[in-house]
Amino acid sequence: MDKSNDDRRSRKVQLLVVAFFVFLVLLVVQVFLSTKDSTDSWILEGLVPYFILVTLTYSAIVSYSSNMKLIALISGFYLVALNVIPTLKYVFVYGYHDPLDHFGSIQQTIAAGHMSEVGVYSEQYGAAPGLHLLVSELSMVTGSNALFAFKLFLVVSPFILPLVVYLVMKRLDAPNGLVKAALFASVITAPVTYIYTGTTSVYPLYEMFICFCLLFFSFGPRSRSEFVTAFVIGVGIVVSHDSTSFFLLVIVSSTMLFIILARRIGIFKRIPNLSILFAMSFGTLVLAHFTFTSSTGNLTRLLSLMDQMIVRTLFGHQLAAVSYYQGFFSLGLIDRIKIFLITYGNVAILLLLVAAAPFALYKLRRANVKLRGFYYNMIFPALLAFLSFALYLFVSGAPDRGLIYFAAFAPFLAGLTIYYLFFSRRYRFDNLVVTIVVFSLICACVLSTFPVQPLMPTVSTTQGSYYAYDLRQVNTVYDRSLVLFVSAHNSSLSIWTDDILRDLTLALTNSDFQSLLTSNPEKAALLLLSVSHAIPSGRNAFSNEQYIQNASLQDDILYSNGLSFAMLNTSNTAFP
Amino acid sequence: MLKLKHYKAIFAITGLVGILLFASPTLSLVLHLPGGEKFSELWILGPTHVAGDVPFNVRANETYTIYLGVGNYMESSAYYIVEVKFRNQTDPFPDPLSKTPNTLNPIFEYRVFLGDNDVWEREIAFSFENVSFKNNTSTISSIVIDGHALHVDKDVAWDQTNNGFNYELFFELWLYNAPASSFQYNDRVVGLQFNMTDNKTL
Repeated sequence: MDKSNDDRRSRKVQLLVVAFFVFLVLLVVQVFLSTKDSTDSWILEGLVPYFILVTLTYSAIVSYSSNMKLIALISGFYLVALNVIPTLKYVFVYGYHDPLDHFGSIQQTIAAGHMSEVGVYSEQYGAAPGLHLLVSELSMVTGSNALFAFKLFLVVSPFILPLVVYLVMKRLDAPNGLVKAALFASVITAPVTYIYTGTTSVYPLYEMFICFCLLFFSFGPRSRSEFVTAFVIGVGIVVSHDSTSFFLLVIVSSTMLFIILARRIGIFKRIPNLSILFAMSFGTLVLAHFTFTSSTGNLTRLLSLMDQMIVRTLFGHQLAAVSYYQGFFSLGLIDRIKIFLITYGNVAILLLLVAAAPFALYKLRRANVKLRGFYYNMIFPALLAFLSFALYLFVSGAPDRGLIYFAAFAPFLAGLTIYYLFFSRRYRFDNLVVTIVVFSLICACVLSTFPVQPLMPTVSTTQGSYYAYDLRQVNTVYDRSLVLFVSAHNSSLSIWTDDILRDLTLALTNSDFQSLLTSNPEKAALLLLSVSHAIPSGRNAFSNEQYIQNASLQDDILYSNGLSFAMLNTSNTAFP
Repeated sequence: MLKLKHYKAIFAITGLVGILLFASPTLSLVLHLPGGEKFSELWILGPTHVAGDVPFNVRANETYTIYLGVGNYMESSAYYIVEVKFRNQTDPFPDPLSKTPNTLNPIFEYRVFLGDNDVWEREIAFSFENVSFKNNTSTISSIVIDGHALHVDKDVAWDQTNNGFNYELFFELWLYNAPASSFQYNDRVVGLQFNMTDNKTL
């Protein structure tokens, strides 16, 4: 009787896996057919039915399957699918500012044949060119262009995240329910990785390194090859991202000290000597690398952030996060809730699930020793990572980097809560109920992973209606055509551009042209402006349109593609 | 001890991804992204074919040249008209963000038929004739564009803010709409501001 039940269940899972891949292919084809080179309403526009089918089958596989390896693989593919959508849908690099600067640096590296010594990131990434070089090599080895290599990296790299969680859980001999919950949690708590920033690009390596550290602090390296693998990953991070390296230095050294001190009062087990050696080797590597390359700019910035927070908190100054959201507080309650959910819905879910983890951890007290040891050793570094998230949130008003550092712990902590609520023996839920819960949680997170712009409140101005907060980040063909046109027909006039066009200029042009950029619009001979990209707030959009109209009264409009304009500043005294 | 069979799945996936990576140039030959966006460009450049050296302080009976260009990225052939219009300070100004054309009548036009991804560019010569200055007012009676004398009869008062007699020559792009069998304004306008100077004062 049991055997036939198992057979039926296994056939059901096989069918679900086939359906998942069929829907995945359909989704990719649909994304391919919906290719855009301009700002649309939101990333999932025209893709919702296909996306729902893929998500539903993924949720069903998570609920019905008891094969953890399969769930890990399917979770990897699901994360790849999430990253494929914006990467394939939009012709150019998706995301304003950082991704464009990184792309420009990679382009110049490919053109030069070695790490670029010019451009916006030559200084910051001079000592940490690892991932720029990796993407450049990918482009050169495969013979594809820089854009293709850039996008390929973005799509493929998150695949590893659920696999890492699976391998860790397997090592801990965790119960299947917990493995399943952690794998699912790795999907809903994964940070936005389809926008290339220094921190997101290094995130898979960072997650692997954190996992190795937690395992080493709990049980020590299992073999020399494990030690070497972890160290090589550490080297990869050190040569790829300075902030992450410094953060890991703090996390690794302070966690080790904490455990050693806690051991003295009998709370923790002794750290294996090899683990101490590992931590010290990594610390030495970070310090040596950045001492020899004299690149401590980001460490200084990080310290200044901490300094600002302490000064502001102690002397009653307003925190950056508060001033940043003043416009937000002037809106009605419903609008505020909408903005909050669309912007930070996934963060709120992550925090709620993680906040309940200590309770679930208490319930784990009778679990196996390995599992308990691992989770107890995670408490201190996870708290430190949470503090970094809070620091970024309240001081800079942009919590992304802190959130990414914290997110590496989230699959294990949020997974524990999900396990306790849905997969433990305490509560037996029907698989269908679990499927619905998993599906709902993913959909709730996706609302802010792919911000649903049409749900954002709008503000009316004399120039028209605008979103109170615009989260779209499409680099349009209109903007690129403008930049390419001007770079082909100007080699001497100073240029002022709006914020987004500035980074696009850094991505698309050479260093000679970039040297013409100025930050003062009154002194610039050429003004490049656009309404084709999303502008963060209604207030900014209104002033941008008004500026274009006023400028067109006085200045020559030299170029127009309907949405992007090049204007000659005739009031500039340099003109005959 | 590292046992290869424990990592079978990882090796298989890495291999698969590797194959896809190395096959990527071939894939890009087979897979073509849909074009994305259909649009047109309109531009003017100075006589040396760069942005910036366009004429500003002009005089009567002197010939100036600029380049006028149109780019077609409509994913099909397109038929355009570039309407040339001339305005003084009191005429409605060309709004680059407006979806409707300026209400002034064109003084001249260029008809352009372009294939997809084609660019049309030509050097345009123009001069101002029958220009007079009287009581802080300047009057231009006609403009000669590419050898065609065009009657405009525009006068402007001295602009205290900008210190000059300011006119504007601007170009609007119109695109032929086959279903409607008519040309429609394509929301693109470029233009040059001029300060008409008295020959005697220069």
